[in-house]
Amino acid sequence: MTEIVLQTTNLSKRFGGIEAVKNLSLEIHSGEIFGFLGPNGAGKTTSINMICGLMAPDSGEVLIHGKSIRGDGGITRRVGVCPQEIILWERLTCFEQLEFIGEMYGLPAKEARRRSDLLLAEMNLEEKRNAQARTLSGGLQRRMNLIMALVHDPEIVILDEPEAGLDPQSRVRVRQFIQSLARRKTVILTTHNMDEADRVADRIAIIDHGELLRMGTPSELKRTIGEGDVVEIRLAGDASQRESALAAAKALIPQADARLDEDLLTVRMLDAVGHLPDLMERIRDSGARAADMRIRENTLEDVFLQLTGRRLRE
Amino acid sequence: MNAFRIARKTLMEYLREPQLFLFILSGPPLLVLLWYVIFLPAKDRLGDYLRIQVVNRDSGAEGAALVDMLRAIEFEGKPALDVKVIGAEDQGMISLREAKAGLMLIIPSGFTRALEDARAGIDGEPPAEIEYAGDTASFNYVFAKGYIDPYIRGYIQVQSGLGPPVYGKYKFLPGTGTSADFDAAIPGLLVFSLLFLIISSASSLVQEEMHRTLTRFRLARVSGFDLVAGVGLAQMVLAVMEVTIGFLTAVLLGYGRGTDLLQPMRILLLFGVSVLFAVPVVGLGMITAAFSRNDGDAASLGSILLVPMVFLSGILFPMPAVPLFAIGTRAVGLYDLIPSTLASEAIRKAVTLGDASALVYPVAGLLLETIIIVWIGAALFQKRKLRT
Repeated sequence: MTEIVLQTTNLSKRFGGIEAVKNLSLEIHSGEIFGFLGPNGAGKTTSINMICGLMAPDSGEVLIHGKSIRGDGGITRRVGVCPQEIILWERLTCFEQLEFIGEMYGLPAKEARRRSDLLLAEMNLEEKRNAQARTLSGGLQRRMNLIMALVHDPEIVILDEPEAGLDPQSRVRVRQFIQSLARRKTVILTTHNMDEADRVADRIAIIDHGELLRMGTPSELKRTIGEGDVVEIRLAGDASQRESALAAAKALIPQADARLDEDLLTVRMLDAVGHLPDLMERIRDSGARAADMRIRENTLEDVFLQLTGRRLRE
Repeated sequence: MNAFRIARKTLMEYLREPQLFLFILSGPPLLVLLWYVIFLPAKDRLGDYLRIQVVNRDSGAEGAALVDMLRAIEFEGKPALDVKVIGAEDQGMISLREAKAGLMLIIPSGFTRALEDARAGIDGEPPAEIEYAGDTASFNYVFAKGYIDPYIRGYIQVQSGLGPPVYGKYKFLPGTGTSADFDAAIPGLLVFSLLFLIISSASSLVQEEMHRTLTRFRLARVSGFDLVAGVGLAQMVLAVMEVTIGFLTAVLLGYGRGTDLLQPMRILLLFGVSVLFAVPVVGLGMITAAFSRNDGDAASLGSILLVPMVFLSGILFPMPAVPLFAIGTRAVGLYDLIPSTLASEAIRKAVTLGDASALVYPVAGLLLETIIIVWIGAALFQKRKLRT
C-alpha cells in the first residue's frame, strides 16, 4: 500500500443556506492521479479550495502527511494548484511569470529560472518564452496556467478542470502532460468530463451536491452498476408507446437495468448482442419504433446517472 | 526579499503599459504647468489683483492728479494697480458684484477745494470724504484698500502742505527673497501631486484582485506585508520619478530663479520629505484597496481620502489652528493629524529654510503617522483580501 499523502476528515463548508461540501473524507495516495468527478456546482472547487488552504472549512480538517495545513504555510507550499480560471499577470512574459511565482514559493532565483525553462519546454511553449501573457491564445494561456502550478516542483498537484476551454490540440498536450506527472507526483484533478476522468485518473470520487457518492477506480465504479453492455435505443412514437416499450424490455430480460429518459431507452444487460433481435421485436410489438440504436460499454456517466438519477451535463 | 521582487514586477507591469505610466508621471508637471499659467499674470503685474475703479466727482485738478498718482505706483518695476476711471457709480457697483474690480474709489466733488482750503489754512466746510466701496469680506477689497490707503493719505498730506509723506517699505521673510506666488506654491503642489498615489497604489493592489492574481499570492503564502511592501516600494519609485519630473518642470518654468531656493541642501530635503510622505500615502492606498473590489471603487474611495488631505492640510490655503495638546513648546493641532499637513509644513520649511533641524517636529510626526497608517493598511488588506 502506498503512503497516504493527503487526507481530509469530515470536511464541510456552508455558504449561507447552501451546504457546498458535506463531511468529505478522502485518502489520497502518493503518486496516484485522483479525480473529482461531478457536475458544475457539485462542490469540487470548494473542496479543492479547502484542500489547498485558500478557504477555511467550517468543520473537518485537511492533513498532508498527517499534519494539519491549518496555519502551516510550509506544508501548503508542497501543493501546486492550477485554478479553473486562467490566472496570469497579463503584462509579464511567460518566463517572467514562471520565474516570479517560483521565487514567491521560495525557490532561489537561479533554480526558478531553470525550472521555468524546463516547464516551458515540456509544455511546448519555448517559442512563447518572451511573449507577454496577454498576447497568448486561450489554449496557450491554459497551458501556462497549468505549469504555473508546477514551477516550485510541488509534491501534490491540484488541477481544477484542466481541460476546460481547451482546443483539441492543447487538450491532447495537457492530457499527455498530466499522465507524465503520474508516479512522480500526486495529482488531484477535478472535472465534469467523464471521459477525461476515465482516461486519466487512477481513482475517482464522484461528488454531487457537496456529498461524496462513490469512490474507486474507474473500472470498480463501472462494475458497481452491473456487468455487461449498454444498449441505447432512441424511440419514435408517443409517450404511451415509449412506456410500453420500456415495459416490454423489462419483461423480456428481468435482470437487466432498463430506463427511459424522454425518448432514450437504455438497457444494461449481459450478452446485449444476443438479446438484441428479441428486444427490437418486443419494441415493435409495443407500437414504438427504434429511430436509432447503439451498443456501448458502461461509462462513468452511467454510474453518475444511477447514483443521482441525473446526467453529468444536466 | 519578496517585497523587492513584487516591486520589480509591479514596475515592469507599469513600464509595459506606457499610456498608464505616462499618465501617472504627467500628473505633477501638469499641475505645475497649470499653476504657472494661473500665476503667470501675478508674476508680471500685481495690477491683475489690484483692480480699482475710480469715480472722479471732483471738478478741480486734484482728483485727476490723484488718479495719475495711483497709476504711477510701481511694484518691482511694474505698475502695481489697474486703475480705471468710470463715469457712474452704478457701473462700478456692477463691476464690484461681478468681481471685475476689487475696490471702487469715489473722489468727492469738493476734493480740490478741500485741499486748497487746507493749504490756505482755512477750516473748509463741508469736509471732503473719499469713499472706498467694495465687499468687505473680499480678499481683493481688503488687499486693495490696505495697499492704496497709505498712498492716498500721503498724497493728501503733501497736497495739504503738511510735509513729506511716510510710506511703508515692503520687507520679505528671511529666505523667501522676492519669491513669487509660483515659487511659494511649488512645495505644496508636489505634496498635492503625491496624494494621487493613494488612487494609483490602491488600483495596483486591486488589479491583483480583479485579475485574480491575488490568488497566486495566497497560494504561495505570500504575506500581506510582503505584498503591500512590494507594491508600496514600486509606488515610492514612482513618487521619486513624479517629484523629479514635477520639480524639473517647475525649475524650467522659473522656480527659484534669482533666489536661494535651488541650493542643494534645500533640494535634498525637499526630495527626502517627498519620499517619506509617499509612504503614508501608499498606506492610505492600502486602506482604500482593502475596501475596493475594482478600479472604480479604488478611485471613488481614494478620492474620499484625498479631498480632506488636500483641503484640510493647508496645501491650497491656510487653515485655522485648532490646538489639541502640546508636546513641549509645540502645540499639536487637529489638522496635524493629517499627514499632508505635516508633509506640507516639512516641505515648506525644507525649501524656505534649508535647515534639517527645522524639520524635526513635522518629520517626527509624519514618521509616527506613517507607521500607524501603514500598519492599519497592511492589517486591513491582510484581513479583508488575503485571509482564507
